[in-house]
Amino acid sequence: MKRTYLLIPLLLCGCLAPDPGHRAKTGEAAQSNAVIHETRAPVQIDPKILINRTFGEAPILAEKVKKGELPPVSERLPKNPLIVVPMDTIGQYGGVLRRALTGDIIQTAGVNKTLSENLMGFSRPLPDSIVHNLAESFEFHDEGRTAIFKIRKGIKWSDGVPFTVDDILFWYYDMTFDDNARPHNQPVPPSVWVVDGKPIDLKKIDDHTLEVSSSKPLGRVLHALCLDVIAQPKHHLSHLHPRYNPEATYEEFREQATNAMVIMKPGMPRLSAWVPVEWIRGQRIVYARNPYYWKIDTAGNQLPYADRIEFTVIQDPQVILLKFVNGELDLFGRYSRINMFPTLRTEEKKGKFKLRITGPDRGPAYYLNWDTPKPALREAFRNRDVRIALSYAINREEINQIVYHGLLDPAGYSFAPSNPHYSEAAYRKYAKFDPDKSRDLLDKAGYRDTDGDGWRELKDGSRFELNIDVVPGVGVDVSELVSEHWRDIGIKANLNISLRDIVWPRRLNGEYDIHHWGLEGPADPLGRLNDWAIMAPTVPFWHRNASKEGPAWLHEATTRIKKVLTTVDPIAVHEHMTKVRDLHTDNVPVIVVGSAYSIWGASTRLGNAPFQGSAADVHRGWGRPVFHEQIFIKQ
Amino acid sequence: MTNYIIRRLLHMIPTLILISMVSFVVIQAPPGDMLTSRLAELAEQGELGSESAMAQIGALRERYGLNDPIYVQYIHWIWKIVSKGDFGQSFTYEMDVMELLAERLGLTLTLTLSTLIFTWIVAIPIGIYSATRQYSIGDYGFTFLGFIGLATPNFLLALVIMFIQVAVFEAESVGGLLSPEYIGAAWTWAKFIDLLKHIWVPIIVIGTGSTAGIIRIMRGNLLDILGQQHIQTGRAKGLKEGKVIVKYGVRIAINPLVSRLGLELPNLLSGAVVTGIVLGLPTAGPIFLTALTSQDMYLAGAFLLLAATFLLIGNLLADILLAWLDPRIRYE
Amino acid sequence: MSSIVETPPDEREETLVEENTTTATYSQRQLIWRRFKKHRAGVIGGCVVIFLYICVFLGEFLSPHDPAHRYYDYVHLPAQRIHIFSQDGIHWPFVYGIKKSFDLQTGVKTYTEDASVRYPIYPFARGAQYTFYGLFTTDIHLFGTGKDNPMFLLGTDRFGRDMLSRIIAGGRISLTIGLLAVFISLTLGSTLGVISGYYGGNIDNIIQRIIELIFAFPSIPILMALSAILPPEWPSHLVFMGIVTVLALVGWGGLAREIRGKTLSIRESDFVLAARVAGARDRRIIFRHLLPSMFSHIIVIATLAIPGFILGESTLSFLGLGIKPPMTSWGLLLSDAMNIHSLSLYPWLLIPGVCIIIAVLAFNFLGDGLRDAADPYSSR
Repeated sequence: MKRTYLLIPLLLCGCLAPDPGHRAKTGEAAQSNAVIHETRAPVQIDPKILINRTFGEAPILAEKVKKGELPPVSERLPKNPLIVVPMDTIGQYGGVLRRALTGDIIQTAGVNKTLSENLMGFSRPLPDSIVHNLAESFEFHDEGRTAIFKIRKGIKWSDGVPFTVDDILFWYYDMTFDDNARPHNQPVPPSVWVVDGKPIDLKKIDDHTLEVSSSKPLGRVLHALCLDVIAQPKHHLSHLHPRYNPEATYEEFREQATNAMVIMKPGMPRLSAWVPVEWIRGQRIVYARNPYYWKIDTAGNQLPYADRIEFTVIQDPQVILLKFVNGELDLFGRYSRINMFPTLRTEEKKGKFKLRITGPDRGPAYYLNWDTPKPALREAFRNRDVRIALSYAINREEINQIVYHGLLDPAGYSFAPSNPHYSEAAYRKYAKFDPDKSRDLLDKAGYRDTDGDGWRELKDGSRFELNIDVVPGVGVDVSELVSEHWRDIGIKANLNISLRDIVWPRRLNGEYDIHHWGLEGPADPLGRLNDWAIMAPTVPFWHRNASKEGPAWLHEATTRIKKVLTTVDPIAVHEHMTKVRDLHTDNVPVIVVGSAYSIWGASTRLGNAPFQGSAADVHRGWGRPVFHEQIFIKQ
Repeated sequence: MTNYIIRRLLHMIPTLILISMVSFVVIQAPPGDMLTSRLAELAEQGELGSESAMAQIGALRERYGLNDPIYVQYIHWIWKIVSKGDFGQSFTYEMDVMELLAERLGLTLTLTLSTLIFTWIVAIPIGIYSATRQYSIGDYGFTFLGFIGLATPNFLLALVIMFIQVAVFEAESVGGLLSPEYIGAAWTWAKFIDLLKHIWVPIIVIGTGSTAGIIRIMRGNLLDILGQQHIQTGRAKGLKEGKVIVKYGVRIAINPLVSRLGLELPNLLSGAVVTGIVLGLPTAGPIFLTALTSQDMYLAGAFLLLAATFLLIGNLLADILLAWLDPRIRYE
Repeated sequence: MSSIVETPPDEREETLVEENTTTATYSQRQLIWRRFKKHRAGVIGGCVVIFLYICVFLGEFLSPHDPAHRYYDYVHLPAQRIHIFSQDGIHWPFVYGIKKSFDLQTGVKTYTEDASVRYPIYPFARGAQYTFYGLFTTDIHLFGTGKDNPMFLLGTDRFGRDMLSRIIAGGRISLTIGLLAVFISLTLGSTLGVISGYYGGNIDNIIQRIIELIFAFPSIPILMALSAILPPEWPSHLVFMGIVTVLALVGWGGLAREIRGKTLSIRESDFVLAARVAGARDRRIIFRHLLPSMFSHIIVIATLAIPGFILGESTLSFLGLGIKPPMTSWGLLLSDAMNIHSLSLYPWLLIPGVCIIIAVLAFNFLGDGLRDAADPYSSR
């Protein structure tokens, strides 16, 4: 069995790699930035360092070792530490990385995307493939129904306690799949770990060997293992859990083990490069280096380079921008908005920071509600010609110039360029600006202006009028333009601008006509399954009745996606996904304006700050690709 | 005097009950509740409105008693506050409302009181100057400046000052009340200096609105008093002009200002809320806005209730102070 | 006057006194007006207020463009200058054409004057069509350079909309909100204030408790909380009315309190006693004697209350809890400009802030002047 499937992991990694051609295709403005640095650091580590275990460490740790407060670095590092090739050069130890968040608990994801470690990980700065992380090897058996992961031996939590498979099982069975223990802000277990309504099976072979198995091949297990968390310190948390301590209560456990608590509470053992040492609620979280961090650079120095990383809470993104421009923050990207681009470009000249442009992915999209409560409008939305007309009517270049400062790649509904199954032709389909064709399509489909009031009529004789739900921000500007474009072809589009907390319940309950949002998961639709396939009775949200009334093409796409999830054959994956892509693109269920570039910046006092990256949420957003542990502060 | 204070305190009880009711109703009134917002958050993370998520949310709604009639919810809420001092949980911040508000309200009050002191320190000398040099250029100049301050919206002034700090002066640290390294640190001289470096911006922003009023009152009162007989007598007796003004004029002219404290405090507190939002201060303002928009009702309710209570107490203190300062006032 | 005989004696006396002295004195109103005219700042404030209301009343006629029209070729255009001289000599006032260049590197659009094209500014020029208060439809504007020709005297915003026209449109809302809110809170405040002061006792107690309750809350937070109640799906004109109501609800207490105080002081005065002795009913006394005698004070109080409402609206709009597009107000216009890029790159977007300052100043000066005139002995 082994010999057949040993190859598959490699192929799996390969299938994530995109064809190289399209990487170079970026906007003009981006191109000047896309200087790919050859690193000046050694690309490979001297094997002697590994054999003799002569690792470098930060001076503050060396001092602690001298005082006897800490074991020597050779004992702290695992047998087989993960070797990181620095972006540019071998860095210096010391200094503080300064970042900002708009909240602490409500922005848990911001910290998580920066610090979390998992068995596997996306390669960085670009998510071209899946690479090893906590796991040093894996193999598939039984046509991919079982996977065996080997964890690096000797990895320790930040308090020096060894990290074992038990910690993973604790997180999985005692927290995630224990309905009583799961924090109440997480009502359901993550869907990636559920197959046919049942959790995937996790089993301990020994302290460092984990078996993952399911009734179907584990097509997505590697992706699942790249996401946020996989383990929590059992030795630290189990005394709070009623299963291990009869005196504990679930209520207390839920409060003590929320997503925020486990990554922000000082004293919580972590596997990340920095661990929380100070948390002033609503104001500041300070992380100090983890003496047991298990990664080294190619000169054998233990990472991270920076002593600390500090998150200051600043509610207003404008103030964050101001502080970044003023040199008070080192990295700015989570809250950058496209309308900040001119300011950032102007201020960049002062030399305090360098601006980066990455992408494009995930641009503005208009989700038509295929089940809108208005029957005549529903009928129109389900007409493919109407949707194509809506797409042709948008003047994407105008939106690009006015709202996006040239940083929007006009495109239609398809997979983003960073997706391995991307196709340029599909990507640009129906994205031309051709209002005459729109009018023509609508006329032919029978949506004409019969009463001469300047607006087309729906089939029931009422005015072709629709409301676009949009959340304040850049989306309002885009929507103002789009609604004008649609009015030009005789469709009366109105904006309904409301806060997210108003718009989202409407989205979830299907109470809208059109919902403006970023296109969900074009970089990796499999990471946003519920938006691309009929995975449950009320899914996708833009067609809640799809399981009953959905078009044949969507059912076909769903079938193929389900096959992809349960196969480990990269050729089959590619074949299915290409078809899924074309089914979606040809039927334009969602009207897309284009893919947007993301802007972010790094202070010039930082070394090894990458120039590229991915801001796609499915690849852990902008935080992870920045690769904080190998960034250093120039002295 | 003691009788007076006790009577005033008893008098506050029905007002407090009404305040708590209004706070609760106002916070409860918007459609939806905090679980709708939790749902939105969840869905945004990709765990999209699956049936089980909806069901769970429904269960939570039951658990928090959100399906109860409003008066039942109110009684639960107020009973917990009265009996245990428990203001409930904040849903967005996942913590005790009181724990969350305590420090922020403290800072808000510090800011409000510092502003009060600042405005008095600035406005009273100017008022005296204007009164003694009536119709001089300085008099007109200060009056006009005061009016400009009154007319400028707080949020505009805050942002403009902050921007000028960066663009013109390249200040080391803008916004906030402390440089990051001092947040949470123990109080030292250096931390205090750092606080001073930051706190002047919000103080000026909040203070500008009320300075004009105080200048005008001070000027008017002093002018009236300086025209009165006892002042003339003093002058005739050959007292120095400075002594006449300070000892016999200013002392009396200040009394009406004390009685205005009760009117001034709510304005300052309002200013502190808006300015806190714009400058990103760790005060109660920003979380109140978040609480309102995310329907974090216990948090918003507690803030309204506490702010109103503080104002009541502030008013009482102002009245006591006035009674103590001005023997002519009787405690009826 | 043949009716003298029927007039009760005391009232006749009053009439007689008045008749005897008219030659030497002025009526109350004339007196106020005379005193007011001497208050220079008040007069200037009054003129500015009148000017502002004329501007927003004329609205569409005065604004050279449709405030909602987007000129995509002139996005973020700085204020244009009006020229009289060109290299060819003196002309009728004109603006130059605009040349645009877009810097892909910085994303910044730069505009330069195109000296080869001149657009003279003519009075009563034709421009965008509009309907004037539903009365008639025309395309004549007070001044302009012809339909769709560039003339943006205060620059344009992020969609290329004319700032001058938008400021006029926004001013209409901001200033109307001030008036409406003051009208509602005055009606409420003066009625309840007079009743409270006139009857005293339990009624007074209840009304005072309510006012105390309103005062107990800091104004901005309670305004924020109340406007958060307005249903988000309301169209903008309903939101507008909602905001007015919210402002008035929070604002009437102060007015009521002042009027109560005034009522107390004149409740026992001779003419009220006279009316009561004459058997007038309470309602008649309140509406025919008390309120009219306080009219000048009410006007003063109202004038001084308007700036608070204007500022309150702008703060709410700034926080995203106020007026909703497509309607606009100075506060909303300003909230669009409250970001770093507007401050650093497009400072002309802050002009609505200047308008707020001017309007608030003008009302304050006017109110001050009126107060000094109406009540020269008040202690300010």
